[in-house]
Amino acid sequence: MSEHTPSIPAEVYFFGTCLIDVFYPDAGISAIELIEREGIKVIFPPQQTCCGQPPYNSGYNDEAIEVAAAQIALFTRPIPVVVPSASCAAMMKHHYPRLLEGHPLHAQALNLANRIYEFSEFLSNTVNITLQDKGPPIKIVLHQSCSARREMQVTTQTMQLLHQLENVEICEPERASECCGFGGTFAIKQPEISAAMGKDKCDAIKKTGVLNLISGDCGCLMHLSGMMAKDNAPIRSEHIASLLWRRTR
Amino acid sequence: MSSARENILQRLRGASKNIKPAPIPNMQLPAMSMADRLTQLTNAMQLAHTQIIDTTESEWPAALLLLASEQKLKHWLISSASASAQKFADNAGLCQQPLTLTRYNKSFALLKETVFHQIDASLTDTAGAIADTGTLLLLPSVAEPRAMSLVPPVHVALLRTSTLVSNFNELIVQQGWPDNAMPTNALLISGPSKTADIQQTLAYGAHGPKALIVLLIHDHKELDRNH
Amino acid sequence: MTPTFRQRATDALADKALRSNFRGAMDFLREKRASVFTDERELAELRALGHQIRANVLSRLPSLLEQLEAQCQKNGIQVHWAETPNEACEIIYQIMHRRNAKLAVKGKSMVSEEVGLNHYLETRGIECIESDMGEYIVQLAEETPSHIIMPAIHKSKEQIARLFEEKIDGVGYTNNVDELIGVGRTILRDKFFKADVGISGVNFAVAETGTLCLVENEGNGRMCTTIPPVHIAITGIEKVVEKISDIPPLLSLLTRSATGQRITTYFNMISSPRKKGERDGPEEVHLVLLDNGRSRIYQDTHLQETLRCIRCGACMNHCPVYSRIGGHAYGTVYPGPIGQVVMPQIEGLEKHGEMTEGCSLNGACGEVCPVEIPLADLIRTLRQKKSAAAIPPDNRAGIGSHRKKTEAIAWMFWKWVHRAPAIYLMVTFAISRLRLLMPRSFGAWTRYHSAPKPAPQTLHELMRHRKQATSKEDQL
Ligand code: SF4
Repeated sequence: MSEHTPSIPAEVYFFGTCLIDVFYPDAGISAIELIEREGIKVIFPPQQTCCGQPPYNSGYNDEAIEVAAAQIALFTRPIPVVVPSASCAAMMKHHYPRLLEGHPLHAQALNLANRIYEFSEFLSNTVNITLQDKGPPIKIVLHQSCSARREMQVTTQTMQLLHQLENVEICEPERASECCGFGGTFAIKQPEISAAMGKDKCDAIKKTGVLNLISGDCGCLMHLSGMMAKDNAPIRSEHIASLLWRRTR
Repeated sequence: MSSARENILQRLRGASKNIKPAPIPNMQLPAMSMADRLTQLTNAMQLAHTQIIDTTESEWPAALLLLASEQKLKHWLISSASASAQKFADNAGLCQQPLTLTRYNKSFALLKETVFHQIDASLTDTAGAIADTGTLLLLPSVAEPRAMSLVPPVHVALLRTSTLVSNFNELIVQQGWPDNAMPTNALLISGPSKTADIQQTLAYGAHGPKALIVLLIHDHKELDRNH
Repeated sequence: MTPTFRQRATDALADKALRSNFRGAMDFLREKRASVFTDERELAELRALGHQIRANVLSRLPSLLEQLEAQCQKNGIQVHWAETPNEACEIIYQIMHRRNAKLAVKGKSMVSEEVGLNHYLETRGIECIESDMGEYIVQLAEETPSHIIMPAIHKSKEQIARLFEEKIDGVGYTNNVDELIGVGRTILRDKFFKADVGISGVNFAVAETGTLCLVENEGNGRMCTTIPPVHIAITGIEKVVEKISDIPPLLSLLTRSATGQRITTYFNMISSPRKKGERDGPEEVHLVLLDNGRSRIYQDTHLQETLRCIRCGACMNHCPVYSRIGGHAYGTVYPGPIGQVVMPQIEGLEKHGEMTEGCSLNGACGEVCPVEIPLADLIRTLRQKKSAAAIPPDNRAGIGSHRKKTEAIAWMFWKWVHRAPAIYLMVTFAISRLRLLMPRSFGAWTRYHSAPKPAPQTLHELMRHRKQATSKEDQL
């Protein structure tokens, strides 16, 4: 967990993540709008691609290293890097230093790791943002990803942001802390187990009767909303940045 | 010596140079006052289904006789030589019901049949107790062998409050381990035998005693009492 | 052909009774654990302490083993070393053979499962009865344990009631747990009474004093180590602990993590066989120290973290995969996260590499592990080893044994796309433009999900437009 930084930075980098790039660009734009509204300049290096997590988690480290090294080279200035996904943030913060051990970019990887902020953590801790809810009353289920809970430990920060939204009521599904079963390539390699986990999560969410699913991780969202859609469940899923921006602009 | 030993050690030695030991973090557990120790002991024991009978040095034999007659515990296994066993034997005649006392004064092979099939209850001393977890320390000896606290269906243990410590760390200090050599067998006992192996349902008396009854002798000094 | 991990898991997922038995048991055990770790700071301190105690043991493992051996021998405990499961079984068999033993009672010992002791003895005419209630049930059903702490956790009491009715003479159907346990007690007491040898595992072996520590609730462990004339303990070489004063924190971590108990009913510390004049206890005590790949695990400073394990089972209790597929689906002695880490290392990646895929890397295991083993990281490392391109000359570990051409090519292709921004932009642009033409089916994914729909424009494009817009504004 990052400490409260004393001053709000003038500029930050934004690492969009590949899933947001292709499937949830609106979440990326919303996150950037929110940061910029606080008077912070957002730099989006256009050469960025993916953090390298998929091959890394599959045991293909050489491939992961090449792609990681390409990202590291893009975020060299000593300013924070905001990542709107706890699992990609964890990759860059916790796994890059290990992955690049012995690599010429190792020192740079360590330097970058210290500047990685998960999006909610950045808004809540670093910016200490104040949010004014302008939206109608709704109920949401918040799915906190395993990376948000364990590797990044940013669940309280996420809650802190949502609690500022007066008209948003947060419902907790049964066994909220259990994994939804996405796990990146796990969902492809072990689809039966992944789906069994996903189904339990979807059932728990449906049981709350709430129709809005929010998460800070698009992997989980894609998995859960994909399963819900297959089932024709009328649940709308959204990245937390989209919700925050939509309701406070 | 065996080649397996040499091979294993050699492989380990080859690798262990890379790893350095680090200082072990210090974790202080709070020492409890006697009052707290007693409360904690009682709570923990009750949670574990250990029965406690509060008594004193002079009254425990009477309490034991009452227990024997109430629970119809007729045949007792007792120590061959302990003072408590003698005290029990001296008073046994006063019991409402006739008691048979078997002294554990032969080797197990000779007593096995009796110990397994005829005994209703045993009486043992204890060497101390841990308040934190409601745990008795038993140090079986020539006079009080190991099977006494294991085979009979009911185990009655005498515990003196003056021997009560806050936690396991303190118990190790109290016993002077490892400077005092470890006994053949040291036992921490925290309740009657139990199992939850069938669908997480708790059942008592799995293999050992179905009941553990502690005669808690309040013998600590006044000074400690006001601690 | 034996079924793959994935096939076994798929079958288990379809078994409704099994699913509900595990779900109930895991929820129960998680809640129990949480109820005894209410002080988060104390938990953090205790885990850090447990971690360091175990790490320090590993840092001095060879000398601690020698010290343990010397102390045990001084106390009269005979120490044996075994490199392989077969050697361990043979050592135990020879001890029994010398005593002309025909019946052994065994307390819970996963290491004895690891070496396949029951089978070994059985083929040599020795009956070995499991005396832990859960193990007894599993043996009666001719199955293997599905959990390292609660071996019969996959069965409901009704299933056990039917098993008893069918297998034990004179026992009718009852699903009353007290009665079922009563049946087990009666049968097993007779076995303790008659047994020639008692076999047990070891939870901690204290080098400083030569003391074997056993943790249990039932009393069968005490029976096995007290009643028969010979006691044989078997354990892995990593179970050694330096000092007696290291035991309280480790014990507390073990019982609280395993079953949510502040302590178990019995903590049995054995330091010698029956001494002269003593009236009971075994005349001989033997300790068998098993390597079986552990010294190989020890060679790698990262994978070595595996050996800190105190076998509490908390990682499986909290594993969302184990909770759904149960222990048997892994097809190994140790299931769940610790199994996924241990088995491929002791029996090789070639045989057990696939089970490392049964993990979403969610990290719940590492979060609860009392000695802070980073299980997810270790699983990831093993995935890397099983798919490695470079194969070492002595490859008993099975490095690269699961490398598949198609997968390797897929990742190579992936790398080309993602390390070169120009190609990446082209590909993502194409995906977003072809979104309406996307296939409805992506193999496994669309079996359970509707096909994901790419956005009409990528974030990269949107950001480019934004930049153009602002720079235009700037020019005006
Ligand atoms: S890996 Fe950790 S949690 Fe799992 S059994 Fe071992 S000590 Fe327990």
